Amino acid sequence: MRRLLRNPLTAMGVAVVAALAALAVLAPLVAPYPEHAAGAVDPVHKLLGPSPAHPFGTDELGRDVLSRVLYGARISLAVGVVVQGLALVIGVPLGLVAGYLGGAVDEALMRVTDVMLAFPSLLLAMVICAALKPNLANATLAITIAWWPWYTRLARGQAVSVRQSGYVRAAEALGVPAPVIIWRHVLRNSLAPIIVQSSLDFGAIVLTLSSLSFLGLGAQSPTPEWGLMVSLGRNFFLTDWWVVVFPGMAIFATVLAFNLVGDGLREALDPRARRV
Amino acid sequence: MHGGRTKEGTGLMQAGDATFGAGGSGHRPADFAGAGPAGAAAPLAPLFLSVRGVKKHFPVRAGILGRATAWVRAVDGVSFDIGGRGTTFGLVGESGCGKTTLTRVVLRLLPPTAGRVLLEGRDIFGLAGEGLRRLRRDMQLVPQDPYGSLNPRLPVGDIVSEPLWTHAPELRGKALQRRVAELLEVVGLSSAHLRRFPHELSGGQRQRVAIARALALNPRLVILDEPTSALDVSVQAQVINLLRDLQSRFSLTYWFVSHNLPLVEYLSDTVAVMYLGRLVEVGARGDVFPSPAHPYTRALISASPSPDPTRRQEMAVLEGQVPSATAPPPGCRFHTRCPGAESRCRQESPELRELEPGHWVACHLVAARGGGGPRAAAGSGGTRADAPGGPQAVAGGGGANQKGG
Repeated sequence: MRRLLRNPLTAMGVAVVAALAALAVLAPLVAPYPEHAAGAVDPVHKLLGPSPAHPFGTDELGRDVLSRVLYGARISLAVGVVVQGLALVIGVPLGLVAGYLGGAVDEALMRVTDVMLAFPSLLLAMVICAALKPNLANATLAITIAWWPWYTRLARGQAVSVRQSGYVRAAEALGVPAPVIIWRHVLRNSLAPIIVQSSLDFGAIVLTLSSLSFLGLGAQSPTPEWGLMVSLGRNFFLTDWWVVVFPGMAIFATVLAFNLVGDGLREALDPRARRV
Repeated sequence: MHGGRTKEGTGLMQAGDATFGAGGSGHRPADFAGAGPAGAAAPLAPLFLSVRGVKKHFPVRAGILGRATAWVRAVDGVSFDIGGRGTTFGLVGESGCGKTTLTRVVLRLLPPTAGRVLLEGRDIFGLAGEGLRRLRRDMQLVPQDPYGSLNPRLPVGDIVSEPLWTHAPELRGKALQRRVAELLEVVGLSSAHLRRFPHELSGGQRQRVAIARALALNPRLVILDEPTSALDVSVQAQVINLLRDLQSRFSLTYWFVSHNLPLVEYLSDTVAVMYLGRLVEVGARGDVFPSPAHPYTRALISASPSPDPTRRQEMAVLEGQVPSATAPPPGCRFHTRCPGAESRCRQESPELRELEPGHWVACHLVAARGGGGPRAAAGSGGTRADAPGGPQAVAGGGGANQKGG
């Protein structure tokens, strides 16, 4: 952990992620106008520039942009956690089993992931969202479907290399059952790159969700989703920049922060860098 | 499951595989010494481990269909016996000769291409399910590289308790902890090491952990696959002494695999020499080392440095390279490098013949010596006493103990 924070960029990323998480959790307490995130409108105060009363200004319906950005952090992070969790839970075990067992199981699973990975993940998510009813839950589902094969691939690659190691061979010679070998030996020694990849991916998931919403395939109004806010505000962008810029900055900061954390984790967890 | 990428090449078994008995002679009463090939008839004394005609051929795949275009004959018809409990069988050969593959086949970690292995009468290759589980308890491996063979993310206590978790469900909680601590003490570590991770241990300590793991289930046979080749010389000596110590304490049977001849000579009761997937010479240590019969064994022994000046002899330096196991030479596999190769050696593959009781050689050039004399009848204890040097005398004493056990 100390190694992780030694790099100033990583420390900054960690700080931003921590702040985002705190703001997301505390949004109902911090946001000046919580009702504006839930659908209430205030047309009298529409499109006001940043001011002490509305630090991020108000949008075309008079809603406080700061409050909506804060609630948007909840949505982005929650969807990120759910997608990441599901993708890991589905992808990693499949990859470990395929990589450890090899043979026909491996072939079958890898051909499935090949098909999935043949489509760009955003495009695949868009198609799924368009086929289903566009809403936040379906967007989450769609991103998960587009995401898990990456973890299967990654976990499989790790398992294939760990399978050759002396301790796995020793465990086989002891007659340790395959599920125990996968759990105790293969998983534990495959985790580091998977953790790094998931922290790097978190930003990409947030970005994908925003893209879907921006295109109208994800969250629907009045949900305070960042991508949707950018999408709705783009009609007023030239005259009332704050409607677009603040949610956009939130997306940018989130993606950048997770990438910094991921890079830092990679350095901290890389056994080659660690063994001096 | 383990051989996901290899297919058994059944149907490749050739006629005329050498089947013979060796290794047992030194450990069985004198009247068995001249009994001839032990595997041919029902053995009179139950052999501890009997390996018959074991082959392991790996396919070389090519093309998109992955058809086998050639076979690597890593192990090509190996037979030997380990006579009794408490003895050490040494297998010598240079890197790539098939030693480790042979141990992996006998451990059932690789499917065999052909052959039969009996451990105390049990047909190892026929086992499945519960029988295979029992076999895993009875045969344990101390792997070559103590840096790779321990999971870097598990503390020592978990590593040593793994075999007990797997095979001893009655041992849990406090009893398990006690057993693990006891095992660590047996190999010269202490319970202070329980929570250490492998990277916190030295090479010798790691190998002690690997030995503790192998001994956890009181195995019948311990296979030591170059257990010290990754260690410093001073640490090697400690580990070797520990292994000897454990052997006499628990009357363990060792199958010691190495390319280190002095070490094999020091530890083994019976020695087998392997070249390119086949055994070229098998015999009691006291027969093979002072008077090696096969030209390859002679070259090996003369090439290994000896600290005893009275044992120095002319170097028989081998020329050329080891031929490929994919296309082994016809006839005797050694003829391409043998200083005395004749035309017969290029055509006929020599079978192992009994040169003198218990001493088997696969070479056309070696004529039988005396055979069946009183020296052989006296057993290995007698021959050992004749052997020069200090360690041998110690080893002879150990052997005598083991005969009693």
